[in-house]
Amino acid sequence: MQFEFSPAQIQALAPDASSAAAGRKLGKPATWKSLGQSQQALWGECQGSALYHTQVSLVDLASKCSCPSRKFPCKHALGLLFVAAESPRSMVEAPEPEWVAAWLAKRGAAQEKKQERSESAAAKPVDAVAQAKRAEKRQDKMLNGIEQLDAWMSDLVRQGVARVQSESPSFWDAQARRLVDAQAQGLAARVRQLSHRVGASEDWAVHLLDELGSVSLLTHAYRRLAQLDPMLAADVERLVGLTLDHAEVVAHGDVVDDQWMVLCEVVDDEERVRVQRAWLRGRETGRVALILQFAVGAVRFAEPLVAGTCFEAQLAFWPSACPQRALIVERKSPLASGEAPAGRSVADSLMGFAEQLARLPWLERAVLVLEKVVPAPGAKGLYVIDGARHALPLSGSNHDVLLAVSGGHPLTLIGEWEGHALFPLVAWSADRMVSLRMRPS
Amino acid sequence: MSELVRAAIVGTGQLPPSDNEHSGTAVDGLVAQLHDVDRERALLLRAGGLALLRRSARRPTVMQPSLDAAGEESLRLPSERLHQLLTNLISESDDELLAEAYERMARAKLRLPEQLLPAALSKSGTRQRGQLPRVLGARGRWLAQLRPEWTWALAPSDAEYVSAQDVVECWEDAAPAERRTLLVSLRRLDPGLARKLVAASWKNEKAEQRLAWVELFSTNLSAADEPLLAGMLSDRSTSVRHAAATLLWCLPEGELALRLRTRLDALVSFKAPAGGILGALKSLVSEDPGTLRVELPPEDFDGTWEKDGIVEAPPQGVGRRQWWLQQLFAAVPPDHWVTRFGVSAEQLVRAALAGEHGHLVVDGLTSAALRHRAADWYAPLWDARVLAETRGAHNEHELWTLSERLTPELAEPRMLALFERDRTDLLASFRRPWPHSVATRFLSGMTTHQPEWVALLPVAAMAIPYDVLPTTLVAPAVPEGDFRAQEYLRAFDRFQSTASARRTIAEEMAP
Repeated sequence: MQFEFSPAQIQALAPDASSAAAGRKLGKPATWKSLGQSQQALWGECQGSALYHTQVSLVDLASKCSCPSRKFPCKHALGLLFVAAESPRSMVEAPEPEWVAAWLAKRGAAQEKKQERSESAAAKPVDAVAQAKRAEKRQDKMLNGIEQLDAWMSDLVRQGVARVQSESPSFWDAQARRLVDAQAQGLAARVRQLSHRVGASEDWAVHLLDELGSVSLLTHAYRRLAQLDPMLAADVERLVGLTLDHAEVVAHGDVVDDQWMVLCEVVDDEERVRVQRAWLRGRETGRVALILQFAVGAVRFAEPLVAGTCFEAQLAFWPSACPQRALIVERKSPLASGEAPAGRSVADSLMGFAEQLARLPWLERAVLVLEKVVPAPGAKGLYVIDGARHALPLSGSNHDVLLAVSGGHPLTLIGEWEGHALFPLVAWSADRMVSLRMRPS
Repeated sequence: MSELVRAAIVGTGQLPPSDNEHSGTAVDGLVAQLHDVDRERALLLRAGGLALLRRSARRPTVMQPSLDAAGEESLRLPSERLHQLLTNLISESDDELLAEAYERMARAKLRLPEQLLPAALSKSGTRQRGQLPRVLGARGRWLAQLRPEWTWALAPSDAEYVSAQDVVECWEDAAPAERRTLLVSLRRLDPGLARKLVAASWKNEKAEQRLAWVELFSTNLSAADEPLLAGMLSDRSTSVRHAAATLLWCLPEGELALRLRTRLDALVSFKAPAGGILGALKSLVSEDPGTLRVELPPEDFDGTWEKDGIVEAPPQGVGRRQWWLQQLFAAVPPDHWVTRFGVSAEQLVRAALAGEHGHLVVDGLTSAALRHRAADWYAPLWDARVLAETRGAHNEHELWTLSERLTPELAEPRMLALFERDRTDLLASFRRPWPHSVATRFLSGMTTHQPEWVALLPVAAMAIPYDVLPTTLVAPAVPEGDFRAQEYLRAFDRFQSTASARRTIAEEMAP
């Protein structure tokens, strides 16, 4: 099997800059006692304080190493990948040694078990009466929570939104907790986000009112679930706090086979939990999927999703009037390197976003792939401008790498759009991909 | 601000009921059909409609691109492998390695990859900053002009002022630090004009500024500077007087230099081993260099000496008269002795060592040789200080300068000799790259634990020539809990990684 990752993509797998540097140092055949590769995996033995056995699956780049490092992937796994990328001739095609075969078998078994579990969950006969009873009880709880939230918001407006600046964090927290008790986690998260807006900008009060208005439309919609289109009703339930497990997503959502390219990914640190948003696009269907992953502390994300890579897979989308969030049901090919994705003009991109909002008014964000844009300073910081002189402002603080990569010449820019400013994540210039957000060490 | 937004921000409780709290969206009509909503709820729902409208009906701003595009590149991009190495070096801020990488890249006509430019321009390491402008390429120069803190990379490091006339025009309005920069340029361009500007502004400047100015006269120093410098000998500030005097030491035909020479001549005499050709032959065979007789200056400090740059108070541990003698030797160009006594520098140094006050004379001669750039004296003086191990209050900094000034041919045997004398610390003072023989000797030594080499390993990693850098070295086996040995192992590992980075750089330079 041809290993076709570039060192830059391997670098992007590193959990931080120091691991990347350490991995790079180990990325020379001479530092390895043995090296080998099969259709499914790469492996090698590296002499550190002890002799470490390092292996990497070619299916999803998952790795395992006998070293004590708690970083994933560890520097040995990165080193092994660098060797494969830069000195492919030193990777000898060979039958998998026992320790590699055992690991692959274990992973395969775990995968099957997972699938079986989800299948058996889907197939399990359900006590329809009990289930309906539980659902009803839960809905009552939620309605109570919503009732109370509406009263709280009306109160805010009666007192004047400007006044909340003097409130302590517990003011927001208490309301969020009441919603958690009412099993309305989605609304609780929105209330917590409200507190971040206070004082965040000059016109924060207007933004806060926007958000309060949006939440009001949501609670209004929840009270009229039965009148809504079933897909939009599913969205409203999800936004309020109803969660689906994977089997339910597979059972009720669109299941799509395609070759998926990771357009970009971004990791947010939210109080102890890291959240990764990876945006994928299917080559045949053109569908865009958002894969959310969560990890605590230094633990790795389960699916390695690196911008610029492609793989064939089956994805299942959450049922929605505007399907966006998805999960990977099954990967069907090893990772490959992608090419510069096709993009759209600024006007077309904004029109596309408006169409999505028309289907789902509470859509939080979308990924934009802008073609032939140049960055340029304007009234409110940096903008990108397309050939029709249409400009969008950029959010985020440091755009030096974007400026450097462009040099005033057009490029393809991929970023997240929430409706006001574009957060740039990846640039493609002359068929080379550049990640615009370096992870701190 | 619409009435709707105003009502929400001020508070409906504070305002009389109004019919104008509209969003201007279809939501208004829908809300009007609802029966069970109060004013606040209706306002919130309308606000939701307004927010949605703002997000969905956004029109793009129309703008003209405000930046000219960067020009064509004449330099090539480095290989993917070098790109990755540079990424790591920049993130680790390895000043020395980066300076070397940039320097070699510039020679190979390579430039930095675009995405590394912002980080490279933001680094403050002085060595890399010196080389970075050469690998910026058109893109890097384009980028550097966008941020004031990067424009340093655009200014040609030295001759920003190309004509003396430019300098004169800027002089009047220049701030003190700026005037110093102007003078640096002007001393190179037109030393006479520099003298004129200094003389005209002299009285109005602070002592600190006057001192900085005097020191700039070492560039293009000539007899023409003598009158001005002589005038500074009566300056109010001691430091200025001293600086002016030591510059006058370097004008051998000047009055002050003559005065000092006469003074020292009276204290020094030399007796050849024996007369005639036979004696000279004998001196070669017996290695008897002859006798250098040196007397100490008189007990009482002569006030006029101070004006000539001789400092009265000795450093701790040195006698007063010894100190004065040493300074006299430091002032006089050493080649004066070769002319006066008709013997080589090497013979004179040996004679000095054999005589009384030997180390004083050697130290004084060392300062003099460095100051007057008397190259014939470097090796004999270095030998006297290191190989003959003369005792005394040696100035270590001067010894390092001596090492650095030795030509490779003179340096090589001396560096090898250091291994036998426990003075390998001095290897760090020599010019780089090290000769092959020294590099090989060092490499074979470092695979056993050498506690005193911990500080030397990083120096060696940069000083050993590319073509002898080993691919792998086997680390010495050391006992577990030995703290110092572990420290050595860490330095050993760093050596290996620096060596491997340098090898990569060298390998990736080929077109």
